[in-house]
Amino acid sequence: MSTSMFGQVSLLSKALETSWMRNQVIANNIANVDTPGFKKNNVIFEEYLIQASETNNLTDDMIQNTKPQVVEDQSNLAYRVDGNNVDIDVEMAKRAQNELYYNAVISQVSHQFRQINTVLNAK
Amino acid sequence: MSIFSAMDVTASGLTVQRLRMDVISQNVANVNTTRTESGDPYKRKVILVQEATPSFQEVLQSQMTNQPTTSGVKATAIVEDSRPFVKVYDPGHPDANAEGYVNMPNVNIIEEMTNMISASRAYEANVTVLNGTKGMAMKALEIGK
Repeated sequence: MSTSMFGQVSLLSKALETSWMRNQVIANNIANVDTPGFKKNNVIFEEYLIQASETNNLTDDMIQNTKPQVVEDQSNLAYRVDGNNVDIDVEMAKRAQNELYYNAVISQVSHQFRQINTVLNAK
Repeated sequence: MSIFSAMDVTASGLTVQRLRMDVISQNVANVNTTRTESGDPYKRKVILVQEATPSFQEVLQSQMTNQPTTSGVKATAIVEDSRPFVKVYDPGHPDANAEGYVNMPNVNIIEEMTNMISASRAYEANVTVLNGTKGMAMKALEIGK
């Protein structure tokens, strides 16, 4: 997978960046829950990463070049008369999910650094 | 993208919901007001809300850094509802016309209560997001500890 000492950390930091961006986008969706005609935004990243990793092994370059994208959900399936397609329950669930994911990745980053620290302190 | 922009977005949501609440409480308080400064009965007020348009700088920044332009929400105007007044037969009322009918404000109390619940729930949702964002930012400070 990755050969450098901080390779894992660079992948994890990408995950953190995505998660933080997703939090911001969800915050914007929720703030606009009553805005007529507003269409919700989504962040797509994992799909791209899977695509990149399916062909060959994931390198640091590939991780760096895979960028999270914000896309507008243009579905005309809005059930509201004002044309807004934000579903508050879905957004709140996604928000909670994203927060847990973020915390999990943070723990993972801390763990990586602790491991490196252990190696450096080995006598 | 500043790390606080998610909080700014949420704050704009809180501001708009609170303004909605202010306007709703004014409507409810004036449900029986038959004479305003202009001489007419009170007219129901509603706020117009739209997604905040990002500034040129924000758009440029987002294009350069591949970050989303999330600028929140803003209230653009408070407008009067043009629905007709409710006519109530009350000949003893000082504002009654020759036939004994009084023009009452076009405020529907049930509608206002429904909107009030909607506004307070949306406010709570924004508070939850704000607390979540705060927790995430605090968690990031724990890296390396």
